[in-house]
Amino acid sequence: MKILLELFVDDGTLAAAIVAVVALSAIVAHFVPGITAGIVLLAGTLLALFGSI
Amino acid sequence: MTWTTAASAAVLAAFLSSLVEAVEALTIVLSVATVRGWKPAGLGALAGVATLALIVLVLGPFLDRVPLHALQLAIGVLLLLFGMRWLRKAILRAAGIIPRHDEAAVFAAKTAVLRAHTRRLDWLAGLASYKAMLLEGLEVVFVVIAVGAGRGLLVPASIGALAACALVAAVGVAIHRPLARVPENTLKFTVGVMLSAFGIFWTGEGLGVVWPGEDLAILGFAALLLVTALATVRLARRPAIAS
Repeated sequence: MKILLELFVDDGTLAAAIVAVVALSAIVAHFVPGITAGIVLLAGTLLALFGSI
Repeated sequence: MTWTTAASAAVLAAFLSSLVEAVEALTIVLSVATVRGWKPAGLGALAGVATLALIVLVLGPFLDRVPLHALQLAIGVLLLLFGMRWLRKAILRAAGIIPRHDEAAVFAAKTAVLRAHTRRLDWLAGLASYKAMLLEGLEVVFVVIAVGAGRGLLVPASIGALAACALVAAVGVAIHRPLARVPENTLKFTVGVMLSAFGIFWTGEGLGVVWPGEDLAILGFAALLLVTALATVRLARRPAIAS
């Protein structure tokens, strides 16, 4: 199980940030129709990457 | 984006990521073969491939039973985690913060460990080969499912992965040495960008987002990820670490 987890999680902070961005995008998608959730997802992912270094 | 273009992107993503995994598996199998001979190395590798085939055969049919949006969301999030992990590591290596992956060094370390256990049975060497094939193979299977399952592109993704594995196996058998000259960090950088782009696309689709340009948006995501990654490397760059 640990080995499987390590396939997807290396830096815990980055993984947590990605999950948080997806959760936020899901909330936005629920309340705001259209592309807004996609913008949150894209911008959040890029910020998470930049912030993880 | 036409089916042909989407299929080409799936083939390329699966080919490049499988190339990296296959090189890593080959390095370990070759180190086992060098110290213990081809019998335990080959048997271990074959057992690993057989286990992988069994996993795919058992779990594969369940893919059709999962609702498309749920499948896209689950695969998208896993792809994001997987691709961003690779991309982050490639950025850190390109910036000189962590050492680059050196297949020659891995080969030397593995053979040294195996030689240190001269009295152990051959099955232990075979087990090392089996484990390498299974773990690296699982990553290949995941990438094939991830880039292929969302839009019925499993066949082109499988072709890309099989081509990469066949190429690495053929070269490995021919030269009997690890493929030290493969630009692994460049490959990981490229694959990290591609898989993360697919991840953003599938996650968005799973959440009900209608992307402008549909599949073409993947190329835009890849371009943005690449620019961000290169800018991050530039900002974080340090003198290269030797090994």
